Amino acid sequence: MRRVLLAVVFACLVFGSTALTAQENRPLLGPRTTAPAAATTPEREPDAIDRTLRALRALQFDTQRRLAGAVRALKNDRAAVWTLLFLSFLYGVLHAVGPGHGKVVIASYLAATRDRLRHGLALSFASSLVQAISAVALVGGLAVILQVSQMQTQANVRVLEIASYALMVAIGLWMTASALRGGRHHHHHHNHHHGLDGAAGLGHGAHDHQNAHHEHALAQRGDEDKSRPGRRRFLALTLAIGIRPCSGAVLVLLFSFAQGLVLAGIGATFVMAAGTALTLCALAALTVVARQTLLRVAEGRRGRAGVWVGRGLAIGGSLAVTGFGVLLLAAALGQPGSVGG
Amino acid sequence: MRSLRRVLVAALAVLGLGLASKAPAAHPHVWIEAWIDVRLTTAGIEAVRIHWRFDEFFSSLAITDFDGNKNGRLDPPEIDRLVSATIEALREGNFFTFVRIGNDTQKLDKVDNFVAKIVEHSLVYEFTVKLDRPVDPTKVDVSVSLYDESYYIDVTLLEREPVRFSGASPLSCRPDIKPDRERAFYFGMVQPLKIRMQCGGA
Repeated sequence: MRRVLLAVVFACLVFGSTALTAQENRPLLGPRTTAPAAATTPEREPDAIDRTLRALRALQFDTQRRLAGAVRALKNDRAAVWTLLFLSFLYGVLHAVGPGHGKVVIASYLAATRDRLRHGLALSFASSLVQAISAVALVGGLAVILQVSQMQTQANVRVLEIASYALMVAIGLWMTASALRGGRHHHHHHNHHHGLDGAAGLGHGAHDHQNAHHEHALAQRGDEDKSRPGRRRFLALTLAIGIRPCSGAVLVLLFSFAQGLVLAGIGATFVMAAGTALTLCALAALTVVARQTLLRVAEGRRGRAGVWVGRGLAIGGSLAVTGFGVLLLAAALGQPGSVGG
Repeated sequence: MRSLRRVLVAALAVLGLGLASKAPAAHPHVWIEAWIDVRLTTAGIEAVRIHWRFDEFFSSLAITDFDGNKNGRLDPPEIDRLVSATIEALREGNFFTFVRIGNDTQKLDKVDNFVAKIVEHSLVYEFTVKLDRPVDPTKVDVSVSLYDESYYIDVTLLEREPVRFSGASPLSCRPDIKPDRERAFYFGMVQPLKIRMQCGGA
């Protein structure tokens, strides 16, 4: 199990880093988009961000163009299906590299709680899968069954987006409440593997006795993911991230359907979700490792630094989920167009 | 503890005010490749013709939705319907075209000679932005930036010859294309390209 886990993390990190360096080297980038790198002044920091985002957009555009070409080629050449699936995967990885609500939820949640890596990875894959299902359901339901126009179908991503963000706010509030409640009990911290007890999510009752606390923490580790609140929480997080389909997947589906290639479109959507999941799990791994390192360093200090850092992460992460949820929801409700990742 | 909470709430509130005023898309959903033709006369720059080529996904949406007779392409009346359905959104975004003369940016209520067509699966839009009166680029700074501040559309410039100059004029011009930090959007992280006309001669 451990070895499998390590292999998955390694694969994630490798893919994550190649996706990032790919922007720098731009191997797929055709000669058609402007590269302003030479024109920028090198000494200031924001230019690096601008350049990276520009390169990322160009790479995404280029992948999209190739994707469209592969779908067209499929009409005459069955072998093009492999190109299509490969490009879909790449598109999924790239699409997820940009900012988006799923990343906010995963990173903030994992920073705030003592959930282990396994949960983070499961969350990444489950939510990406739900995103793919959501995209197929949206396009199948609206464009195919109800014969809604393609542009209208795409615009309806917004409805699912609002549902996602509303759920995100609810989860954030729930996490915040648990984090604040947990903070009031003065737990001693015995073992850093347990992370901070009372961190967001697992809203367990009061444990004022230190001995009871340790036992509780140990017992809890065992059935954390099997417990009903654990499962409910997992489902809520998966839906908050996944209900809103990836807009790229919706576009590919609409495009494939317009070309009369329904199965290819659906296949591409699920492969794309696998790519998204890989980017998300790289982020999840990074967050969990960062949190554990931070706690370990803090616990090495005298006094209650470990407890305070754990509590700070719990509250900060919970507030981040809530805050971003509120902002995204307000933006989605206030704008006619589509917003968010 | 309480003070920590207060600091966090305050920080979020500030962040909220900053973000809520403008709500950009997380990344572009529509791509446009553009090139421009700067029209010169003896008096200077007179107009700029903008050429857009939409990405194939967006083009496919447009073709599928407006192909009323389902013959697989857009006939002239279908193109007209497409244009009238989308022009208002373009106007709201100032046609994603920002022409600056000195320190003034031209507000575009209308553009001239709007043409829409399909070229190799892609939707192409062309239109002309007339300057109020011809401007001598050797005396006043003239620049063009093409971008969508909401980050929903990414306007990129064609790699080969994104800026061309035409018309009978003694001026000889070349474009100076640089990211424009002053107009950065998306939390200041994305800088649109600014095409400044560098002209000499006469």
